[in-house]
Amino acid sequence: MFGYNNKILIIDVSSKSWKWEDLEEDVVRDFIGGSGLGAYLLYQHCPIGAEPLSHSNPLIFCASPLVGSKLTTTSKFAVVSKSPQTGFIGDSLSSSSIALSIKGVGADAVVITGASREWISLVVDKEGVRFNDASNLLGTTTSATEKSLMGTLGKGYDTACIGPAGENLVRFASISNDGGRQAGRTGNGAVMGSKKIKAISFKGHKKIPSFDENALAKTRIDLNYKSLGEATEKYRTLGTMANLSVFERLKILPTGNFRNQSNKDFQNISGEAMHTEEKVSTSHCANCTIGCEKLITIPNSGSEKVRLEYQSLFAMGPLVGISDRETILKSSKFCDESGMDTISAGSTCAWFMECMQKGIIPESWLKLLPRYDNEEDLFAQLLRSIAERSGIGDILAEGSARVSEAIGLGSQEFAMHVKGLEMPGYEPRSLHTMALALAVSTRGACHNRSSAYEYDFSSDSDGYKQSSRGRMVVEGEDYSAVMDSLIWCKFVRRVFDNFYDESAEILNNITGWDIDPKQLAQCGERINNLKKQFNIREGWNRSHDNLPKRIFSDPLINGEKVSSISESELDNMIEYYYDARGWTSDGIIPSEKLVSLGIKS
Amino acid sequence: MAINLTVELFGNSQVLTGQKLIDLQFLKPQVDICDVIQALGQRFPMLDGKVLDFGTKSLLSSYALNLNGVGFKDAAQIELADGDSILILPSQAGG
Repeated sequence: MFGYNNKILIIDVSSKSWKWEDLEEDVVRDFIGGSGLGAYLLYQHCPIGAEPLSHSNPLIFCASPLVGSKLTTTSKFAVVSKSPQTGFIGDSLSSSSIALSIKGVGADAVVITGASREWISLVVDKEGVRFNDASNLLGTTTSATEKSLMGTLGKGYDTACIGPAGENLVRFASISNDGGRQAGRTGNGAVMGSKKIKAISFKGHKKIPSFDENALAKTRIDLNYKSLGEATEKYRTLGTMANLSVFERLKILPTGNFRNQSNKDFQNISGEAMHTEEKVSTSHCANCTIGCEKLITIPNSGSEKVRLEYQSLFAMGPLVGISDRETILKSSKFCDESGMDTISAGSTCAWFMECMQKGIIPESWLKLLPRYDNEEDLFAQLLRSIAERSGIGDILAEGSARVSEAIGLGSQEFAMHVKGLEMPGYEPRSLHTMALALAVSTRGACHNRSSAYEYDFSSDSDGYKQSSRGRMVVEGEDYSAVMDSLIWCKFVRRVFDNFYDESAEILNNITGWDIDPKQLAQCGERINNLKKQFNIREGWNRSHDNLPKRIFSDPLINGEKVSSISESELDNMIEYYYDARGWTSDGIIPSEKLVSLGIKS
Repeated sequence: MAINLTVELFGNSQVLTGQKLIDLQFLKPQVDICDVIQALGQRFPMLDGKVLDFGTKSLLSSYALNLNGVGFKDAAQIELADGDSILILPSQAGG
């Protein structure tokens, strides 16, 4: 089989053993790679009802057929496990050289099972798998861990690691790789920490032949050229930070834990202001021509830089009601170095700070609060205490969903999460297609698995019917599943004139298959149904597809304009969505549907 | 009769010009997007080929139009009136 190693590396860290298993062609024809293959392997390797932070939950790293093709933006990998935040499927993507190294050691996927008794660092290279003592790395930041391992192992190793947050089982801990890129969402860093794996390093240079190298070479040149055109302009110039000023002007920037009552001016922290007033440099993932990464030198900190994109800017700033640039940059840097998802960290703090303002914190918890001078200082100290699981941070490290259930007193209504995953910086009261996508996403409040905002930002958005939004989310989810499985970066999507046609041709040129565009689109449908079926297996029910109460109870009022969405409107859209998926009105996948997709024989 | 419009620039269009808001006045009864683009082109030639196409008097596909911060519009859909604000913003929504 061209394009794949046809091998899965299975590592059991309990027994410190490893083996290779064959990856069957029919599996990758159905689930491709990346997020899709990860979902398949999770379904196979995760026992029903497994506790996410136990030895039985597998941690899976997946490459894809496009990794190694040198096509722009394709050096990506997926990390998949049962999420300690949601209890459902948790998948997260990251990028750069380590994706090449995973495939370079001869694996299409690495499945890590069990749990080590002592802290270890895994090393995978031509000699096999080593289980090195990692006690000297405990407590070190993500960048220090990478640097240390680079020094110990020598050149050519690429490392994914956790920071103190992952060691301390912060439920929204991330996995960091290649100098600070993050597989951020759904808490895979905590799963890695529960296995006492501080880091995993890969070194391998195995080349996987493609079926038609000449055709790929032409495609590579064509895509490189197009990727430097109008379709990616925003990402190349200001990066995604450009969203902030636009969202603020359109009154769709969530602020103050989605209360949107802030009188603060966030123009000071816009992408335009940062670009004009701060020292900003551009960085690229391996094999990427776009360069969306903007590294900002943090004021008053020497030459220290932070990699900043819109969601981190939003979550460290407007979401918590903070507009001080230095605080935002330092907080974002702190989360990256500690290995915490910025969205969930910011959202949990924003919820807690609102609880403090409302005076509903239990007295016993008040004693655990750090001393602070002002709001900015409080936020920074909360982040620190979470990463360390010290004081009040030991409680907040559980995330807003769990802690709000513990407090009660109505605080659940403004804990801004879906299924336990905190919400990104898109305003569902204004963006109704996005509202539906956030509610039904298999991994919780996710903006990346549907790209539904595209529909809300189009010139036709005012005329959309609820039924149309249901169909659009299905289309967006299936399209995203194919992108996340091949894997393309989402920022290259507009480069394609016809995504399925062009991607099917590229996949065929890599693998030698004869998959047609419709079959490729059906892979997206199959992957989303499998993810949903995993969630159903793990206890999903209709009530999990919902939005926080605040979204329904507190309309956005801007002058004469009122933006809102009611529970019945969302319920109607969810029904249309289930119908478009071919599911029952309770959101269950009929047996015949599973059979038709080849998920169930 | 004069028509006064405001153009709000976002993203790289703001960085290139150093301007967030631009006031434009047209001394004629009807104004369309082509007039606005032509006027912008005369004042900010650096936008040509990066934000606007002065030849066709249109936006590049990397930018979108929004009228008064309310709805996204295709250029042909926009009917401009005195006091309107035209937002020129990046068309890629992701991030």
